[in-house]
Amino acid sequence: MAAWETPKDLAEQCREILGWDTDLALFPVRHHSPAGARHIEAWLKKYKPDVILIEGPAPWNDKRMEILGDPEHEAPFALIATTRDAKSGEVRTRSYYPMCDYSPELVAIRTARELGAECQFIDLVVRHMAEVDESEGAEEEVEEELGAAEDGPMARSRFTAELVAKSGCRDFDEVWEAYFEQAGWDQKPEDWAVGVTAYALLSRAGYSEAELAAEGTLAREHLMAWHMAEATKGKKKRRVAVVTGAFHTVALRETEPKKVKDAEGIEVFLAPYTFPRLDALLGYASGMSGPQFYQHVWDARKNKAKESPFAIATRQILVEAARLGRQDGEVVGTADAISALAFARDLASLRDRPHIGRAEVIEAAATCLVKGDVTLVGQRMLRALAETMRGKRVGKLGKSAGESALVLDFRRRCDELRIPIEHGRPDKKALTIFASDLDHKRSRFFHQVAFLFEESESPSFCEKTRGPDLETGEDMHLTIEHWDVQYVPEVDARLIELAHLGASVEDVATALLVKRWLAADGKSGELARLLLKGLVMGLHAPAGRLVGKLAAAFFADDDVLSLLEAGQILRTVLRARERLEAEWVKGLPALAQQAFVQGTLRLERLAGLSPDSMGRAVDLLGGLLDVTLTDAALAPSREMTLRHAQAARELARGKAPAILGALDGFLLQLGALDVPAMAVTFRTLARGTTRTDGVGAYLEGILAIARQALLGEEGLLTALIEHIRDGEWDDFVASLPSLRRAFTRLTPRETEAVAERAAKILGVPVGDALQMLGAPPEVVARLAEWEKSLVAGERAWAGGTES
Amino acid sequence: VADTILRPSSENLFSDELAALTAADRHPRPKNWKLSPKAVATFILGSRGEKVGGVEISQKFYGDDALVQRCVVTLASHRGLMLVGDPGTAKSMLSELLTAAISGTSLLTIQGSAATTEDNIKYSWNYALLLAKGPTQDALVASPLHTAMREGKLCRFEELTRCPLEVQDSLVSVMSDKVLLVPELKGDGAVVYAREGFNLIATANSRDRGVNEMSAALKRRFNFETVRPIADLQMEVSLVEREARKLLTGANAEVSVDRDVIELLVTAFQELRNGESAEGVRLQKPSTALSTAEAVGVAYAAGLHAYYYGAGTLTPGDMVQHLAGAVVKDAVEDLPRLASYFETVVKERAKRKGGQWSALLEAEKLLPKPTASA
Repeated sequence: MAAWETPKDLAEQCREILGWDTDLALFPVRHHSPAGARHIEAWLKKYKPDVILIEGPAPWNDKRMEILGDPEHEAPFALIATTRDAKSGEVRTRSYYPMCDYSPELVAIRTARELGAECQFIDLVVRHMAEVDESEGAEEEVEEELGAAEDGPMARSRFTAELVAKSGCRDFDEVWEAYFEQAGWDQKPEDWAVGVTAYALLSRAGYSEAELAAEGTLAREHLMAWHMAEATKGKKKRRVAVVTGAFHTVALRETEPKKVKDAEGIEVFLAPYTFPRLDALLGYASGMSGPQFYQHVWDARKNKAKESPFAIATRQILVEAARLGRQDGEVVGTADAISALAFARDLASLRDRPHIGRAEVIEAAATCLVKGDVTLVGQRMLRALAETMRGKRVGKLGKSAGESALVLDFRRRCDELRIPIEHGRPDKKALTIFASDLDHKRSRFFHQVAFLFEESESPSFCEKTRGPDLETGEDMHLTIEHWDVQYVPEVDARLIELAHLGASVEDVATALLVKRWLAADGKSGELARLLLKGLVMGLHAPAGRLVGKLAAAFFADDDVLSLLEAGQILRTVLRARERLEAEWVKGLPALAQQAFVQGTLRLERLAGLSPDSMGRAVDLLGGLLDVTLTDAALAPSREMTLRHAQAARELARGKAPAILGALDGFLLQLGALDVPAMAVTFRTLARGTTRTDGVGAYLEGILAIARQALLGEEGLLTALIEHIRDGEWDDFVASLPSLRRAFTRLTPRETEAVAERAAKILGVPVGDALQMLGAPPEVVARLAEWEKSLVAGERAWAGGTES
Repeated sequence: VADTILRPSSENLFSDELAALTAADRHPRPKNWKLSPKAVATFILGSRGEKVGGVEISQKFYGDDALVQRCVVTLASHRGLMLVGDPGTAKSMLSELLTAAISGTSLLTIQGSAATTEDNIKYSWNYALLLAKGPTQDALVASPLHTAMREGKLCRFEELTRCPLEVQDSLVSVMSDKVLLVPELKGDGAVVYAREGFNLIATANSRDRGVNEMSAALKRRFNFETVRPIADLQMEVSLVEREARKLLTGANAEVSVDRDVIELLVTAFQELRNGESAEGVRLQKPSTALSTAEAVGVAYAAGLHAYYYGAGTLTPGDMVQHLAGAVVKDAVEDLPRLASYFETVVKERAKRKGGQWSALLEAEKLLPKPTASA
């Protein structure tokens, strides 16, 4: 790179790099720079190129480039380039190339359309890093990134650090804004481009080749140079304009053209984007990049009064922020907004900046609209300001984008159901599902959409925050469903990923339902859950087809828990039959009964379950008991139930004390066992040496199903007291954690009642039980030692590792 | 200034700089301002190595250039300037510098307190003259505010929120109508119209106990600026080092001050202030605001200690003995916090880095021990 001694030399070199008087002209940009957008528009109209090469994902070139310039599209929108995992076919990385009205790249594309010039993207999608750290599990989660963010090397350069220190600006963003937006707005395109080029040149001088190679910059530039060479090749003389990030612009002429290969199977698609996401992705140091502010600037660039577009934008932002702040309870009036506007103007002027910039707007609002210590009372106002600077604009694509039928259907349904597609604060929807037909439809739609996002890492369009939950059977008394609704760009991205599954949200939900059905591998519980999901989503036709297949699945399923779970879910469906509009499903009661019968037939398998599923097993047994006692139509015959439960009990003895306890409780409830028999089992377990947690687990099983065993007859309580009073100290200590856990099954009032009865049996006054005893030192020492082993025991019992 | 004066005012201390700036100032200035807004900012932020009229302007306020610019802009507007922030963040110093540069005097100051009355703010009377001549201009004792309005200058109001609410509110009409009525006087003196150039700089602590609220009406007449402690470690170290040296020289105490030792002190202050160590260990913040001024105070006292009782070199040991006095304002709450800082942060660093951190850990024994009740 040539050396320069004076600013004039430097400017001369920049002009050479740009080459605006040749047939291959370069234009340096920064993404989302309104001044850059303004200057490139003017320059292209003057330069009149035949071809415009733009830094963007080259794989898109296979599609029609004009699509992007279609005036029907409303920005912001984004090109999304995805790579998929070769084996699983799942999306592995997703790069976003967002564009808004004031993005120089989009302005170039739109101007090209006006001029009839050809457009091409010339950048790699996947960065070719010099050293890729294989240990980073890229396949574990979808990586999201902003495609081509050149601000990086320029913002981090040593030159920028110096400039920040010298200029009194706080960071790169303020430097850029001060010199190239506020001061650059009124410059001639050439002077602006020379300035930006000089900045990039000085920034780049601080980097070594190795650093640039490691970041993948060089590989990308090889490809860009290759596209440049291709465009200028051939006999026909064509004028070529190259629009890239300034950091690349300064290197392209000296870069060797190489057709660097991108990753295999990259797909690029177009999707609407939102300002809040753009704001977050740009990630300015102050946390406010302000897309809406710049949108206002861009929209006001040709105002008739010839007022500074920045001043107009500032006015709009401050008035809106004050309004929003008022809405949130801040005491700010129009007078404050007016004084903030004057303040912003004076501040810019004091800083020798010809227009008001983002920094001045933020500072003016913080100074004039916040009344008190910003860190203490300013949060609400600053949040309102951030929201206003950010905006909540959501892009929209025209017909030429060939949006998938799924996306169109999604938007049509939102429209029909009057659900706004906005990216602001989450829209809180309270659906009166029983009273309003519209809300009922909305609920089904929300469930469908939420289902599309299950098993995906993308944030969903809608999320149920409260309301009756049929799946768990919780909050069934509620009549209102509460949903948070918010559009984020990932919604479209996800819809596009699913587009191959169907043409409407309903179709895709059905397809996914079937897919999940097949993947459930015959597990009755999961299948029943999917049936319920189908009904909740209002997908009655496919759900109806699933019903027919459930019975066969029950016979084939060997898993007792899965079967009992299926029975429970079907019972819920039956109860909510009206609400789900599932009265037509004729065989439903028989089906539910079948699940319980098949489950009961396999009760003996309970004894062989792994300790992990004990909790679930105990709960499901409780469910079976409930149906046996209260719902004779669904329950298997009492005789059969008792037979299998008793057989299971024999198998569980000595193997699974928790299950044994639960089965004993079960049998007690059905009148097939009494408390003294339980006491005998308890004593046997307490004396046994095989398992330290045996007694506790047994007790817990009992209490989960039949709490009266401890609250009614005294036999079991007496056995417990004997264990505590007369047993070996070490045995007692070892069993303590599990006993404690067993008692959590009781309510505090019940625990108290048990304590009172224990006191009575022991013959001590009730109050004394709670009094602390004065103890001699040797007892204290012993207790301390004991507490240590107790904590260790509890930790081991809870599955934690000892530290 | 005669060398017997303990602390000269800013306009006297920096008279050379102010004269040079006035002579070189070519920018437009608001009416009755001694300097243009740009020159005011330069006076406070320094000329950064350049000479203005042959004089290099020293930097007097550190850490937030934009804040100073905003303060100047506010003072040129119709709203008053309210500086809020933790104690010791140089609010008063900033207010003094601003008034010195803009009005040429920083002495038109009202010190707010629980005992401040409306008379202190507006005007009072020389009772001998009042009895002899009746309410005449001669008998009137003008307050700093009265003078500032009459002469088109800036008035400082320190600790505004320490005044009772109703006394504060006597400022509302002055701030909105820019008029002060003296109903006892007849003729010209009965109405004091503020001349251009008049404005008010108030300061208030956001952390003080026992401060009063401000009415919404008065708040509306002010722009608020929050002054924060300096966030940049090296900048604060430089500042503390420079100020401590200056003070020690002024006290004729020849002490060798090592920058590493100062860095130790400032690091501890910043970490305790932020409630988090550089390694991400959560710390309990002491009840005191650990300001830069406080750090200078500790370094100065420790320097004197080293001079009079030590070997003439500032050591972490000297520092620890005075650290407790600065950090521990509430022994019951703060001593354990300081002790836990030594336990969790200093010990770890002494192990890893050694050097001055080991010396600091060694000096821990000099800390006062929490009493049994603590």
